[in-house]
This record gives sequence, structure tokens and C-alpha cells, in this order.
Amino acid sequence: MICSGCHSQQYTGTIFCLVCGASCLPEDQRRSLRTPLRVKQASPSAVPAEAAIPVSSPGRELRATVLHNGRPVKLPLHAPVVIGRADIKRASYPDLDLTNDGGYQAGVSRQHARISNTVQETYIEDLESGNGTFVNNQQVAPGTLQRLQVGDELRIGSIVIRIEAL
Amino acid sequence: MSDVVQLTVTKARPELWISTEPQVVYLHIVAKTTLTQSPETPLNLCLALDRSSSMRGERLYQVKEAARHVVNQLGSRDAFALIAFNDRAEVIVPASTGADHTALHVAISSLEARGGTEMAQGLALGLREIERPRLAALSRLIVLTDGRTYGDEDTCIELARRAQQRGIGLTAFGVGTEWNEDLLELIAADENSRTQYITSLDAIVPVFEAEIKRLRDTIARRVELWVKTQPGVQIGSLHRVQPFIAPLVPQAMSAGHWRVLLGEWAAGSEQQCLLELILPSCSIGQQPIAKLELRYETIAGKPTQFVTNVSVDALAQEEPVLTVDPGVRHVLERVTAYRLQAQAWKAVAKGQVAEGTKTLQQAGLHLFNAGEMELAQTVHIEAMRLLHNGSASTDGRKRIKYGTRGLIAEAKANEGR
Repeated sequence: MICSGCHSQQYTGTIFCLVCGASCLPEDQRRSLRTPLRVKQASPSAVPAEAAIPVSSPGRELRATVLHNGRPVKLPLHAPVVIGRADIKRASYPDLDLTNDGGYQAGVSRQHARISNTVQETYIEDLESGNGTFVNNQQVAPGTLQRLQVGDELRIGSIVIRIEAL
Repeated sequence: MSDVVQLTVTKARPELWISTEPQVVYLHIVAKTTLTQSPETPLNLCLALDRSSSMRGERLYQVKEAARHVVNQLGSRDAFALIAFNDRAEVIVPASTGADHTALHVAISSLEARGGTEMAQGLALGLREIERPRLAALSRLIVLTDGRTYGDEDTCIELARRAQQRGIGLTAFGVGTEWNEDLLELIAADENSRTQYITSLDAIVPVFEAEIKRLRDTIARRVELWVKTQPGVQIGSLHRVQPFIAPLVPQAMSAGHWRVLLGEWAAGSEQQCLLELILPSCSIGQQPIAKLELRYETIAGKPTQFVTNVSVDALAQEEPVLTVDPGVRHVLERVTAYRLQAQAWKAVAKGQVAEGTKTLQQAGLHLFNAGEMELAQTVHIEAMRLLHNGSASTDGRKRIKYGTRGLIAEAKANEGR
């Protein structure tokens, strides 16, 4: 059998790949960190922040999975979605709160990143977070919007979130 | 008497594939015992304590306190010696039995911190002292260090091997963040030795106490696992799981006959191993896989060897039942996390930081799945440090190395007392 994470040849019956440690069990495939990333052309996906105007898109929703614990996330996309850590004292109430996913230890800022919609596309921008926002292992440059697609893996601090549907 | 030891084997999956290709079979081996030790075997103990200048203050105070606790637990038949080392080593208390506790307390109080760390000198002197009493006792050299020894690492390893070959077990404690965990791992790599990270000063006394208790509770030694595989079956890998996770090295005794040394056995603890076997092609029907045997020598009374054995087989099917036993999966997650973190540090040492970070993250994922949340978060933090700074913190690295072995939990349990 072939490991879905590193494509190495593994013995039939392997449970965790001996090379990369990824699970070879069918029920775990959706949670694997090592599933091949969809590498996209960088040119059209990164645009200056001011070029895209967020618009209201009723009915659209974001579905994603926090990979390390498999937590499913479902949020309406009619308004921008802020990802971060809740902190009442600092009046931080993100739409996607990563506190219970180990967000503090994983270096998630209170207001870390924002996902917003234009007419046709969904974008993510970094909100000057301490540890950066990454899409498919590429850092989102400050002041730019990075286009998101289904299958993209966001890294917020060290927490990885996979976009399942937009 | 052998019925007081139970050997059980659980397969990760109940059945095999009918296949012309090789397949892997995971076996979780658990040995439990109801043996208790009586009468008590005397101990032949030697403490080799680091008294370099970095030990000054609370650290040395706690270590002296720990040494006093050890002394208080000594019986009249136990032998005890105390060595202190910095740039050079000194015999503070020569090995003797039935020593006067008050005199030992005074000797311990005389320790002062100064100078650098040269562990080999401490080990050499400790080894000399521990070999002086000619006793039918359980010999143990306990080393504690807080510093990095320079230039004498190979001598340390050589001395440890020499001690272990003569049946002297070694316990290596590291305190603080400066000591060399790779070295302590190497000197304690033998089956009758162990290493532990003492994560806080409050834990020094309880960790020493627990170690003495563990030694007192030793019920058997020369514990060996014998694996007799069917023709064509290979050993893929073998790890000890309890009392702590570590790779084990099977020695080939004859074709398909392997011996694995497991060292000593403390009452109330289990011997657990995870064995991965590679089976050649498999045809339909019940397939014999291996025969496992546990051999051990009791300590109390006249040393006698006992043997317990179990045969492992499985049914090969066209469409086998694929459910993975949750208990075996839990063990496999932890062993995989241990293996991945070791792999990550190796990659980082070679300068492959990105690869190391990814592997460490994968280790973190397995720890989350195994329910080791705190350790998983430490792994996350260090993976992030690696990503941003190209290196992990010395404390984090130690916590991960020792935490994945399962030895931090033990320290924490003691801290809580």
C-alpha cells in the first residue's frame, strides 16, 4: 500500500506510516496533516487588500476542520469571519474562537486573521498577528488578501484548519 | 510459581489478509505479576551528585534533602556510598553497610557548590565504590547532574557500559535545562538502567524517594522476552511501552529465535511491549505467527528461572475484519509520537528544519489523539519555535523527549504528592 501522506511504499496492514507517521486507516484520512496540499499558482490569488471590497453574500457558509482534534467548524459567510482567541478583558470576540483548540499555547493572536467574501471569491487576510497566517504553507503577506479555495490548509499560529466547503 | 505471571498478547486487528504481498501485524504484549518481594533484598547504592557552581542555592539544598531521605530509608544490610563531582570527583562517604545515619547526614551537609562539571570522574569513582562491598544485593548507581559535561562524553558512556555489564544498574537524573539529554539517554540505554527529567526543584526529593521505592520493590531480574517466529516472519520493530517507551534490540539466538532483554521488574508494574511482525504471503485459514516466552529470575530466596509462554495465530480471510483494537491503537499512537519526535530532532540536527517541524507537528497530532493534551501543546509550541527561530527551547526539547517516553508523567505524579 502507498502512504497518502508521503507516498512511500508501506506493508499491507500498516496503521501509521513508518516514514512520516501519517495514519493509513481509511477513517483517519480526512484528519491527516500530510494529505498532499493543493498547490496553486500564486499570481492571481494574492491581491492588494484595497482592491477587493468585501460584500454581503447571504446563504454562503464556511465549513472547515481543525485538524489536530478533528473539530468541525461551520460559520455563515454573510459577513467577514474573524479567527482568533476570545478575551473578554480585551474585548476580543472572534467569530471562530480557537481558545479551546489550544489556541493560546499554539500562538494564536486574539484577532489573528479575517476571512471575507467578494462577489465570487473568498479571501483571507492576516490581522498583524504575532505568528503569521499561512495558506498551504505560504505566508499571507501583510496588507494582502489571499484567495481561498476548498482543500486549502490555513495555519493560524500552529493550528491547522482545512477548508472543506465555501 | 509461574502462574503468578500472566502473559497476554493482543493483535491490533483480529484477522489477516489472504495476500501474496507481505503484511504487518502489530502485537501488544502485556506481562502482569502478582509476585511480591519477601524477604527484602539489600540494596547496594551509590549516589554520584553534581556539585558544580550551577547547583548553588535551592537546587543543591533539595538534592541534599533528597540524599538525607535516601539515607533515612537505608536498613542495616544496605550498602551506601556518596560521591560528589565538579571538575574532579571526591568520595564523601565510602561504601559501607550499617552506616550511622547521623554521620551520613553530617557528610551530606558538608557538600558545597563550586567549579564546573566533569561527569566521567564522578561515574568512575562511583563505579569503584559500588564494587567494593561484596554483597548479594541489588546494585545501583544514581547520578544527578544539572550541567553539560564537555569532552568526556565517550568516557561516560564507556563507564556506564562497564557498570551495566557487571550487573550494576544506572539511574541518571537531569535537573534544570542545561544538561545533555542525549548523553543521559545513551548512558541509560541499557535494559537495567533509566533516565528521568526532574522538571522542578520540588520534585527532586519525591523522585529520589520513588526511585528507592522502585528498587526496593524489584521482584525479578534478568527479565527476557523470547520471540520464536514462524519461517519467513520478520521482526519489523520492537518497543518497550511500560514502564517507559524505548526501542528494544532483539538479539538473534538462532534462525527465527530472538531474545530481548528487559532488565528488572518492580512489583505492581507491568512489562509491556509493542512488536511489529512482517508476515510473508498468507493463504486462507488459521496461520501460526509466533510463540512468545517470558523468562525471569526471582530475587527473593534462591535465584530460579521461570518461563511463561503464549502462542499467537490468526485467521486469514479474503475480506478480513479490519477494526483496530482501541487499546493497541492507543499504544501505537504513543509509540509513533515517541518515534516521530526522535526523528524530528535528528532532522533538525542535520539542518533540515522544515522537515523536523513537520515531523514534530505529526508527533503532536498523535499525542492529541492519545489524549496527551499538555504534551501535545508543548510539541505545538516547540514546532512553532522551530518554524520561526530554526531551533527549539532546551527545556521544551527535554520535556518532549522525556514526556513521550512517559517519564514526565511519573515525575508529575510525584510532584502532586
